[in-house]
Amino acid sequence: MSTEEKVTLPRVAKGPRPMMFEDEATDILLSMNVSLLSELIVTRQRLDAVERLLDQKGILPKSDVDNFSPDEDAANQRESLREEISDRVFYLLLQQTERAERAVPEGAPGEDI
Amino acid sequence: MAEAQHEHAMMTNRSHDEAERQNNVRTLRQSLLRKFAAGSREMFYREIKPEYEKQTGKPLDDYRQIRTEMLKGNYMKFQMGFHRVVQELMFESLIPPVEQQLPDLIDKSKEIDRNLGTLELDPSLELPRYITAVDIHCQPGGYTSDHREDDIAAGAIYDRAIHIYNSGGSGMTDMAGRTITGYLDAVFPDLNPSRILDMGCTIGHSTAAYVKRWPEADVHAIDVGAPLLRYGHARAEALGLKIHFSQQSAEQTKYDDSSFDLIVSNILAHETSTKAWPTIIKECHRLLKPGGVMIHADLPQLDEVDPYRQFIYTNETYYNNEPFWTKYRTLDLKQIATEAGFLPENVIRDFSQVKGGKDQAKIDSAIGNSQSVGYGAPAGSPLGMAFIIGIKE
Repeated sequence: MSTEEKVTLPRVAKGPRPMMFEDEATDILLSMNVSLLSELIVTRQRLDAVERLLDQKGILPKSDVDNFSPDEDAANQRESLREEISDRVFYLLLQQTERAERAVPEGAPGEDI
Repeated sequence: MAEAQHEHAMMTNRSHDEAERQNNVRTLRQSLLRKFAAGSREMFYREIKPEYEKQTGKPLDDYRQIRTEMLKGNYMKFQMGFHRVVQELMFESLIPPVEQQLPDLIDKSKEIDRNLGTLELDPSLELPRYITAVDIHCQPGGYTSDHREDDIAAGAIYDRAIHIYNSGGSGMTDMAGRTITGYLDAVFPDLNPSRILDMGCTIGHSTAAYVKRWPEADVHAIDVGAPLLRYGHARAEALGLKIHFSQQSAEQTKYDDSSFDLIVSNILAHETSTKAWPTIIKECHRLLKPGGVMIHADLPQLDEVDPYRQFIYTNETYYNNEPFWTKYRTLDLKQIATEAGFLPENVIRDFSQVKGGKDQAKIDSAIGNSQSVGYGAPAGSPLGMAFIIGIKE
């Protein structure tokens, strides 16, 4: 294991971010929707994996999941998970500062360099 | 059907959710994006074009006017907006695991060296502005940024991105290279190169195809991006491929005159510039041995496709950080090659989706098929590649 410090990689591409709609809000909402779709699919796939594994091993009938109630620790972890997922869904808004920092006036699209 | 990516020792690990996030981008590309593309094409031919021509009495055959007309409706706006978001989500899904594992990945890249090939970096190389002005393909940080010593992050991100971008078409991600070897086998059956140069090789994923096709050859691969080359070298060593990676600009390499029997590039041309591309072709002419062949693959030029496809192609310039994409497609590639020193009769413009090796019937049918669909294909489907070929006198 390397002892070197963790590097933070940039998350915004240098260059113009085209907005398709007259109101930028629509573009932001579109990005949220696609991210949400992605996260929903990821979650459903994970759930599917868990249910299949538990069933295969004869450990957990599906009804146990329906009746699940988290304890305090679990509830806290589930709270963090909600936040993490929300950040991912709202990435376009949350990265606005970095986008501004990495904006370039030159190298506009279509320009021959 | 998507083929899972071949996992080699340099690959970034993924948890279930990280992998699913990446798989999901691949699925969105090959399902929703294709459906969007088919839908807008139908809308263009059934409604927008006839309506425009009826109202104005003029043909709708200029791609810029097509853009204006198409973007009047919400469908195209959502399609293009969705296209951009999927590209962003691809990097959103790829970067976190690389960021987290980077120190380990760098350690591994050093340990993995089996001294099959070599890696030569040139910190004094001046990076071309056409590569650094914007982050090409919207990959945050671009292909040349070092975020720490011995960085390989750009390469690690790119490795999985290729597989997602090609919708899982090949587990080895060397399809583009195999398209070229298949074509060369058919058109130049006697070609048996002893020295090969791949220009703009990135991580050498296509270069692998030349090593496999001509295992006795000396295969060299150049790019300007150091993190790509470091990763590419480690990746090649992990896969047991002997490739000599070197950080050089294709405009001016360090190789002697008449050094190579075969020079190739895959979708490098449209990442250069009006000034750089002819310089690169001149450099190819200098580097080729007599009888040697250069072959450069890219998408077709604008005048080789129908106006609607011109509109689809040129979208890349606007939405995917491709400054030179459209301008490149207006260049006279044959003229550039002859001005670089190739005899006119030794310059070939050809296009194909050839995968059939030496079977001429298969190749003819692939070329015919390419023509019938306008050489290209909508985003998310396999690309129809066009070649510019030059044979050194």
